[in-house]
Amino acid sequence: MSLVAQQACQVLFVLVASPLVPGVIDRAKHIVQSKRGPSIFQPYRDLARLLRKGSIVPEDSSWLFRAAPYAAFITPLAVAMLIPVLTSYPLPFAFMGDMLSGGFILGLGSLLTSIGALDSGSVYAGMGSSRSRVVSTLAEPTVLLVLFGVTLFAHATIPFVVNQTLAGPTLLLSASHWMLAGALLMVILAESGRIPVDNPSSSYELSMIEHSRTFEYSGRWLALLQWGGQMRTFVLLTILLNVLTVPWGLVPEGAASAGTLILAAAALLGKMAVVAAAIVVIESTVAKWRFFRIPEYLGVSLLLAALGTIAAYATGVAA
Amino acid sequence: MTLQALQMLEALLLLATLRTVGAHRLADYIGGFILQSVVLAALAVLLAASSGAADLVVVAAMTLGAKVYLVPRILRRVAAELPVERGVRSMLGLPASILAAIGLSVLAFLGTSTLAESVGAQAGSFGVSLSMVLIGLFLITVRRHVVAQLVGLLTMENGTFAGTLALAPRMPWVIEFAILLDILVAVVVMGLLITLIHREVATADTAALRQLRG
Repeated sequence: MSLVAQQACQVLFVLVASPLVPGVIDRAKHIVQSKRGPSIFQPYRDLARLLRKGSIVPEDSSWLFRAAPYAAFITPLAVAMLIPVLTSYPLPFAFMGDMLSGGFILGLGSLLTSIGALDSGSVYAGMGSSRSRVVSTLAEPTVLLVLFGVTLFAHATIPFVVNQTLAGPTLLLSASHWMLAGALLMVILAESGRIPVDNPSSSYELSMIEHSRTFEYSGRWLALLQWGGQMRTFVLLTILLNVLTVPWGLVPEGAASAGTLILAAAALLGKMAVVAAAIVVIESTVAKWRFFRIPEYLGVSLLLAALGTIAAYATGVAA
Repeated sequence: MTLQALQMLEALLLLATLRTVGAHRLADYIGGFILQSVVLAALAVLLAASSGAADLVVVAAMTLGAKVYLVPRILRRVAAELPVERGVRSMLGLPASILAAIGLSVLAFLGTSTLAESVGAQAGSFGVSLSMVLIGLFLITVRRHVVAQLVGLLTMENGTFAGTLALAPRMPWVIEFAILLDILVAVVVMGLLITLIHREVATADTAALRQLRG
């Protein structure tokens, strides 16, 4: 199988598998609450329903409103080319950018979504985009510190190099490594609109962050935005799992075939299931925090990242 | 493997300490202190297993008894007698406190990195103990609730204990016994004092103590 075909497989896998994660989380949350809950394939049905419908455009909006859904949809797919989703060795386009540029590409998608929401002129969409900007701004230092800490270990920011270094015996169990991973998980929860920052199942407009940005979108564009959001979470979790914490089960160099790729996909989905279980526990036990306490939450993630970086110096793993 | 487990526990120790910095309610302060003491006891047991110093097992058991059971009990009793207040008031907000705590631990790690080599201790553990002492002092300085300040004092003591573990793991258990007794007496006395102050000024806010001036 050619390298470009494998790269295409990675992107396609992200595209196809990403709605599964929110589906599984939603079902598990309902089971925890002693309900049966929707099928884990409900997000696919929602997307299919929305894709069949037409879109309505607010009268005073400009081309930004129409461009934003495409940006939100394409940016996670671009990042999927840069990171080890299925293969442990770099694929042809992997050197287009490092983890920092991956973060910036995801940030661009989120920024354009916010601008599109502002462009719609809706009050709630404007409020949601301003809030999501606040969350992203506060999360930025943590992301940079995590990347900085990881670079200290690996002397590289290319994800394919980083995951090989971090899986080594001395680093795998070191405290700083896990503090950095914890900081990144907290940021991922914040960025993907999960409790304690945002409640994904809330129907109360005044408390929404992520969901209110899509208020004025309908039909096909709403589907693109939702799908883009799901892929964004999927890509972020893949970075956490396959780059920072447990880069096992990837296809080794020279062993690429349909069978091994499917195995790697199953391994990634299994690891995602573990994180999804953790998210379900968090969302079932913790209440959404007040908006003005979000700096505290992200402050703690910054603290974890800072401690991880300091501990790397203090314990001498960052040689 | 032991070294990594040791580092993991020390990281947990620092996180438990920072739990008290990021706490809103008194129960969170006490919970953070309990977590700190449990990790400290586990650290002592791990050191005993790796270095063969049997005294440390006794020290760990005493730590569990005094700091995980007795001291929190007294603290909770004192806190229960105080009026219900919404959270601990502080001279610094929580995000600022957390940032200050980061700064203090950076300072501690920088300060100990050269010092630890000269005394033959692990740089990481020495740094953790010094940052606990600094953070404890910081809590005493900025928090305005007496029980929170007491937790700051206890954090400082835990920090020095962590330092002893890093520097002199073979110390006899009698020393730690004396220290723990001291701590217990201090907590009881402080508890009494808090109750008495509360009777006079009806608050546990130390800023209100100025009212006591004649």
